Amino acid sequence: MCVLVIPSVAGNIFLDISLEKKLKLLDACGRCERLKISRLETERSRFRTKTDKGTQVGLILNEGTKLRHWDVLMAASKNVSSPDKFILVEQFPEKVISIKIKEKIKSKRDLVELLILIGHTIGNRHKPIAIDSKSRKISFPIDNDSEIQIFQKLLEEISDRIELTTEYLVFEPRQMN
Amino acid sequence: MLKGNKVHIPRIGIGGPVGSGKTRLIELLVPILDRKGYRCCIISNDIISKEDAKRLQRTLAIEARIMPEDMIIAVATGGCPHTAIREDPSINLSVIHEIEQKDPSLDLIIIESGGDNTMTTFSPSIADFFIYIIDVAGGDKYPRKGGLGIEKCDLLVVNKIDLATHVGADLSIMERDAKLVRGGGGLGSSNRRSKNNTVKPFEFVSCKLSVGIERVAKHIIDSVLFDKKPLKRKRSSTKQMIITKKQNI
Repeated sequence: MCVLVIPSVAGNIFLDISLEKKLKLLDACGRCERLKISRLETERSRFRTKTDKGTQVGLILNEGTKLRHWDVLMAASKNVSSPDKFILVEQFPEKVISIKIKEKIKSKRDLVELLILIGHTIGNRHKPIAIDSKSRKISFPIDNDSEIQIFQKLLEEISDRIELTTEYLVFEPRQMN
Repeated sequence: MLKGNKVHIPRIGIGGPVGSGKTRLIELLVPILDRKGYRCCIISNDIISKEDAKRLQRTLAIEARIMPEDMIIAVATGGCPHTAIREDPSINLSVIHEIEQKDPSLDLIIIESGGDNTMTTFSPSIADFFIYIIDVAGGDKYPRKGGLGIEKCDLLVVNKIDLATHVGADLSIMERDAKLVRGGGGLGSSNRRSKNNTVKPFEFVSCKLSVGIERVAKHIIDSVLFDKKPLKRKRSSTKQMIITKKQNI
């Protein structure tokens, strides 16, 4: 089967208004294809998959390039009679645990201790994290619902100072360089 | 494809518990890929020893003469094997980059992890495709019990099917459970269910009887090499390199 090899990302809908306009136009006439991938696949620079319209795609990106939700991939058609491919990347949402630090902690020492304990607990499970400083929130994905109880137990001693909730969202981990 | 003129040779990672058949799988895969014209390099991780790399050098380089000895590289991780392929893969990455500079025309780099637990996964920064291998001697509960390696790998290989009757393992149970944990849904996890309703592939093989290995090779060619036809090369140079080395000894 023929594989459409895509060597680079054209841009991201969130950041490029012209791409957004193009998407609307192409979507209206059903010419936009969607590539639904997992978070793990967004971190890959080489993999084979297929779009919602069945186009076989082989991605060969620069090493270190990470695909992002709503990135656009474009490939020029080899056949003059058929249009270029416009492919929108959609990352699957997944279940995450969010730990919110309650406002009532005033002492710096208490806060530092609390954050180290949370970091240690999550780190021991080798989880990627996302930090939302404004809302004092740390999020990380889970693979199984049973992990909710595990983390509730592990963080029991600080349960009065945190709020532990689950969400279902497109998770973008903080990049560690 | 290129960044700063750097070549990215396609890479696969092979992980699995101690004794599951990682090294033996490589010993069988490389000749198949070689017959199809693909040239490989192997990085073999072990905790302290270099036993697996030495074995591969003996079987694939000295005995089978498929590849030069220096294309089989030992990496002693010195700690938990999964850290060297996931949390801090820098030691493997540096070897990969050396290989890419030394022989950019290679078709594939195979990275063998040291034997580890079922939570093993490869960082996408070192492996484009991840094979996790288990064996039936661990019991037919193995796929059902899950773990990141079993659930998240691109290809699950269940080895030693020839032993199933001897150890009381029911292969139909393993097949049913492999489908469940690899995207067919079930076992109470929302994240386990594949969003596009596909079951990630798995293969039942016997490395001892060389059963099913061609199918594993096909997965690699389809998914990582994108069906790319290998360049036509003369094999003599490889053989010559080995003969020269032998004479030097």
